[in-house]
This record gives sequence, C-alpha cells and structure tokens, in this order.
Amino acid sequence: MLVGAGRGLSRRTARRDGRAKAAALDWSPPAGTQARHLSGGTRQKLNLVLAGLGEPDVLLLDEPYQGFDRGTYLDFWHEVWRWRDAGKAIVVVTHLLNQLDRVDIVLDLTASRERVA
Amino acid sequence: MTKILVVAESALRELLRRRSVLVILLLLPLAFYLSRRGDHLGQSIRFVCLGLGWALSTAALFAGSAARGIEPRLRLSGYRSAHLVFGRLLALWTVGVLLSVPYFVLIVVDQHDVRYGAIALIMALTVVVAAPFGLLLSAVLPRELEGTLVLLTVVGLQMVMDPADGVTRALPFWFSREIGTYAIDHTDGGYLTRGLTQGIAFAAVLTLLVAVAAAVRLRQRRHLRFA
Repeated sequence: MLVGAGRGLSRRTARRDGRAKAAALDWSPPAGTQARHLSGGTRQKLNLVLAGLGEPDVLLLDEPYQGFDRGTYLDFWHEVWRWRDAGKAIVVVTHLLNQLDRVDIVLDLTASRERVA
Repeated sequence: MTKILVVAESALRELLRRRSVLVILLLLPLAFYLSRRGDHLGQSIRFVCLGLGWALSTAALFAGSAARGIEPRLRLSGYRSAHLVFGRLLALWTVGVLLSVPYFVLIVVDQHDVRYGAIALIMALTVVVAAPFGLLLSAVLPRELEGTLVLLTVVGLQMVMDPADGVTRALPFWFSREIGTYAIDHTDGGYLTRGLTQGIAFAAVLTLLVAVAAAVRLRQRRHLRFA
C-alpha cells in the first residue's frame, strides 16, 4: 500500500495488483508477515512485485533472481517478456547468459582487456 | 495529503509493532515523575515533561534511522521528501499526544494549585519540538548510538543547568522549565511569553531543518551525462 500510494494507486488496487504480480511468481503472501521474516528468494519476489506496481514504463532490475529456484527463475523471465510485449523497457543486469537469445539488445560490459584474456 | 497520511499510517504501524519499546517509552516519563514526587511536587512536573521530550526524541531518532534504507526507494516510487518528513512527523506527534495524555491526567489528579492549561501547553510544545529534534539527530548522526548519546547530553544538561542562565536558552526544551515556573510557581506572564516564544521558534526551526536535510539527502541526482 505504501509503495502503491506513492504511484497513485488506491489501497484496493495496490493490494489487488500486488497479489496478482506475486501469483505470477508462484507466491501467495500470507497476511501479517513482515518482510524481514521472508527468505532471501521470497524477499526478491517482493522486490519485483513492488517494482512492477503502478505499471512503470521503465524497469531497471539488477540480478533480480538471486535466491530463486529454477521454476521461479523461469516465471521471472516470462514476466519480463510479458512486460516487454506490453511496451515497457526493461533493463536486466545479469551474469547468467542462458536467456540472451530472448532479449532485444545485449550490452556486454566486460572490460576489453579481460575479453582478450 | 493522502501520501502524507499513508506514510504516517505506515510509520505508526512500525512503531506500534515494537511493543516492548512502547512500554519503555510510556514508563520512562513516569520514572522521571516519581523521582521527584516525594520531595518537590512542582519539580516532578518539570521532570515528567523532560521525560516526555526525551522519550519522544528517542523514538523519533530510532524511527528516522530505521527509515533511512527505505526512503530513497519511496522517493523513487513517487513520494516527495516533504511527504516522507511530514508523514513521519505526523505519526510521531500522534504518539507524543497519546503518551502525554495519561501524564496530564496524572498531574490533574495528583497535583493541585497549578495552572493546568500551562502544563498542557508545555506538553504540547514538548511533543511538537521533540519529534523533529529526534529526526534531525537521525539525519545528522546516522548511527543510533551517537544520536542517543547526544540526546542524553542535551536532556542531562537541561536538568542540571540553571534555566536562568542565558546559555540554556539554546537547549531545545528550555521552554518547559520557563513555562513550568509560570504554571507551578504562579509567576507573571513574562515566563509564559518567553517560554512560548522559544518553544515555537525551536519547533519551527527544527522542522524546517529536518525538511531541508531530507530534501538534500533525497534529491534527484543526474546520473547520465551526455557530451
């Protein structure tokens, strides 16, 4: 609700959108649980849900899958592709190269000296 | 206004969740009150007001420190720094009023021949000053221990220094001693006026400084530069 209100969402909308985004990552947040009691992977899901609230046009995600299991990792990429198809710009900083064929632009940030080595 | 209320609600929830802290906050002014209850009734009123100020400043200090991590994210989520500052202040002022009411009732029941209106005024000013004072300390001193030590020093000085000494006017709760004298010893209105002026001035300046500190810390920075 706090993040949703900042983005102009009503309580009901923020709650509904948040739950829908959590469900897309196969997570059903129990009521009354504090974020500090969540596991690392679930906390990352919460981060993603909060980032997507209010449908921002641009998302910058720096290794957002830390702690995800394999299934959630795939769910995450499905969400990314869904956001892209909806016209959003998403920048994912990653060290995992197995999804590079499914993104539009790849920027290799490796320093040229290291690349030669 | 909605954003300020939402921030205030979240800050209140966070404070109310810490039940043990709340109990200590509630009992701290009582300890101050009882410490002088036996020998000097009037002094116990002055002490309980200082205790309220100390308790609320400490709560504000810890609330401000705890919020430092989430505030940049909220700023990116559409809040302005003023929303965050005034929402948090609103929550702390509400807690301060809730803390003060039982002590005001205690004084009304336990003490006679004092000016109750003036005592209510001291408590109101204490709440209004203590919240931004604690938040300002959390903005200037990011580590809680340092802020707590400064609070301890300020309140300790406030207790031991002679309020007639001009230097003590620079302390944030000087007004409580001055208006306290008016309320307890039935002195002339000059005490009330001086205390009121100092209290309002401190409240305004501290609130302004907290707002400026937050605006500077949470300002939008230009990350990309194109030649």
